[in-house]
Amino acid sequence: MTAEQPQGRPARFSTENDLGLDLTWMNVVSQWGTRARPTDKGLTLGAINIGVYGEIPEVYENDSEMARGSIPRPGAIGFGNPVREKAEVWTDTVPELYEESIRRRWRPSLDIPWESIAPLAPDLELATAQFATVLSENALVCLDVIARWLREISYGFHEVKLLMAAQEFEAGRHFEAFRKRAVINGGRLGFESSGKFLRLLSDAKSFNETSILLHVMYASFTRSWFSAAVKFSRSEGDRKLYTACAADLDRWLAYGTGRLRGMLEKKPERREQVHSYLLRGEIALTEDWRRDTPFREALAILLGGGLPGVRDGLKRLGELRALRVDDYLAQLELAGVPERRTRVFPALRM
Amino acid sequence: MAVDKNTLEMLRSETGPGLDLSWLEGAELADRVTPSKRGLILSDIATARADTAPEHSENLSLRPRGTRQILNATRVAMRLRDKADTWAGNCALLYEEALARQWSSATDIPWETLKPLPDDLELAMCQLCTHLCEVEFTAADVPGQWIPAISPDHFEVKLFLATQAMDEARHLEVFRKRALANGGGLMRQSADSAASALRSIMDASDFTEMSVITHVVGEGQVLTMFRMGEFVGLSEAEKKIFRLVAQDESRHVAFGVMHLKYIAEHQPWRREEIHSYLDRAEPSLVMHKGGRIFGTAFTERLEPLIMLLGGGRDRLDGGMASIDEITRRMVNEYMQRLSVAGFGDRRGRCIPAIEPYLDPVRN
Amino acid sequence: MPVFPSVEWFEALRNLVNNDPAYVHLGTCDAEVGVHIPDLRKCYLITFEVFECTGVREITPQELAHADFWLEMDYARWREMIENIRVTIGHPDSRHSLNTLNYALAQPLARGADGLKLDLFYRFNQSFQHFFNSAAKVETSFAEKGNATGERSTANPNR
Repeated sequence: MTAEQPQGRPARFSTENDLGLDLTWMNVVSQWGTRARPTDKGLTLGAINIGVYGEIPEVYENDSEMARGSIPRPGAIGFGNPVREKAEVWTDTVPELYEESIRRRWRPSLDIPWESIAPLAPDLELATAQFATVLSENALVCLDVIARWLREISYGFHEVKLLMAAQEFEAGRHFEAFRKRAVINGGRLGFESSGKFLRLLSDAKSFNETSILLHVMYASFTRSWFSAAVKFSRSEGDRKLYTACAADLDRWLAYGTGRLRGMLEKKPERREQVHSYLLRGEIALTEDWRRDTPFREALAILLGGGLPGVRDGLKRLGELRALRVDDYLAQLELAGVPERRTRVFPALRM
Repeated sequence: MAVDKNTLEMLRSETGPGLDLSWLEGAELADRVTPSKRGLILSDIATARADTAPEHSENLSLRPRGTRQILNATRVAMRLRDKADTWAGNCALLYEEALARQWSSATDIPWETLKPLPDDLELAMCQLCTHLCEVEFTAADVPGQWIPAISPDHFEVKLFLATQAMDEARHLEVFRKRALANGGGLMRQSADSAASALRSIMDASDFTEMSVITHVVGEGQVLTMFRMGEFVGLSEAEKKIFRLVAQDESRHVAFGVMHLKYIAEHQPWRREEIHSYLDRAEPSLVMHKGGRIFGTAFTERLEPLIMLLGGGRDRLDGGMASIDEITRRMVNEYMQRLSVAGFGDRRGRCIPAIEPYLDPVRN
Repeated sequence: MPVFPSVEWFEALRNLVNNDPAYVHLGTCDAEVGVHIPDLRKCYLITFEVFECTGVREITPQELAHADFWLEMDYARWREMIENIRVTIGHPDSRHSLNTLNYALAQPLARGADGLKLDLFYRFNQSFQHFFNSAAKVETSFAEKGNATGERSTANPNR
């Protein structure tokens, strides 16, 4: 990307007028001459991060709704956005992840070929309904959590806020898509999950805790379910549904691991706290796994190709679980937490 | 039964890890829901499964409407459990419409049509965009802070509000991009009175209070301005920006109007309460300056608009006449929306400052 | 060569948008839109559904009330708008778009009894504009009042 360098100031304008207008704003400019240029992907968020507008401070002191890089008004009132440290929220890929969210947007109602999802045998259809019910429930809770934290992040990190607005939107999409999948072929919504992890996520007290649970743990484990589901899907529509949702979570993971890595580089003293959050999440996931019999058995039926193959499905589920944990630990390695491999909650693998 | 009982018993009794499978008992498959040319929309599955949002939710959990309860589910405090707290009859429709009409500021705006402008006009456009950056994202944060409080039995409202957050995010970035794409840059933060108006929507303690102030009053005002955008925009890029944001904003206003309508129909005892919110919000529609009344409380919106409409620093008089027309449109569109919502009596109760702009009632 | 106004003319636009990826890109559009040219006593109903314009027919003025909303201008204004669209090759200037005409005229262009349905004019404005912008690709004759033979548009950009 290219940008023209700042070239001085604009003409200075008199504010005198007989209309009672102020006009002092005409002589208050941040960085005149800064001109962002479109890239091969259009005029992206990253392309406009030039000059002073691209300076992302370590701590954003301004607590108002002011656009970063504009001239602050003395005495502007605060808006109470407490998350104001770059280390807590930032990774350099945020602008690109946001633009990718826009570029790769999809519409559950129109972009999934629902007509291709022919009814399965009753046992498979009911198992799919149960599987989809939990995925839908999880997504709605994610929507709630993201909405809550979107509000808390300072306007100084608008790129992160934009990305989270996109994630909120994606969570809504996942919720409605899986709700539709559960019932399209005559199934009903199944049982809720035992909800230990979801409660942990809802109750998170800091953005760091939330992001670790949501963008790393939830995204990693759920994406693994999606990847498995693509393999046992029997229609183009199902494959497309799981693939599209997995692609969304890929971006969540990219944000989560990048953010965590960056935070630990800046704040190495927080490493043990990170492990504490991870342990809590792993315990909750293990507890959910133990209690979520309908979800577990539904997956086993799907992996086993039907109810008669459920025991075979349980074996494959065990293998899949191990792979999920490996994938999760690989993500943590990317996030700068490789030692979690030796510290992971043992029962998570069982 | 969809699944054979004997098969279930056989599987349970086989040696190996214990299987429960009770969740399959009694399960039957209903008819397939057939997608239409509209695809598979929420109302299709709601209609097919006779699934409607309850007037009052007893669901104190995280499970969405219709999901089967487990006995040991944890209880969650949910503030907004009455449908009338948040509902609008069109929220599912608006959600699907929002998904279907997303656009990209990076690629759908013809940025190459921006041309160098005289300094005064570039300054005016950049100041307007700076102001709109502030406004738009506040509008995204505010509904979002209500989402977790809404019962999962009324998920359609949550979904719509999530689309609003996405729309406002897009508006923030498109206005920021415009300010930085033509050499001007960002300018001054809006005046304190403006920020107080924005803070008031954050400070709302009730969803309806928030919706009245944000969707009906605030976004309605902004919508009028966006609709005038083709007179304000100086290039095809700017005209398109205003047309697309107006389209999004129309959905937000439509939600607010229908929510207010639902209140009027289902909770008529709240009429005076609603009027009190309007009493508080209407002053933000106008500003007294230089012995005149202008249809916005924001200097950093008003004055750039006057300059853009007039055609420059030396043509403010022309801009002033246009601003009067914008104010007239804004006030009358506002009243029309309230009338649709069942609050036509607001004409006789509005703040005096906007009365001169009211068109006569047509018979 | 279709005459404006006529079902044939609107059908020409309909066929264009129904084969136009750019129209689909705008997203779904669902509305029944009336068109009223009062001084010619002509009314039409254009049906938009999902990604298509699914129908055009001539209707009576009384039937306009059944549309979600209708667009009303006198014939000279309609002609001026269409000629501007043709001269600008589908990019009407800021005095001739549906939105600006709605504000510029003494009476709004978009009318309707139901304020919520009238709102559809704004919610799907881009799609309606795209529909009319397709007139740039339609060789158009203009009906003279009281004369059925029609007059060739002098605003043909291909001349």
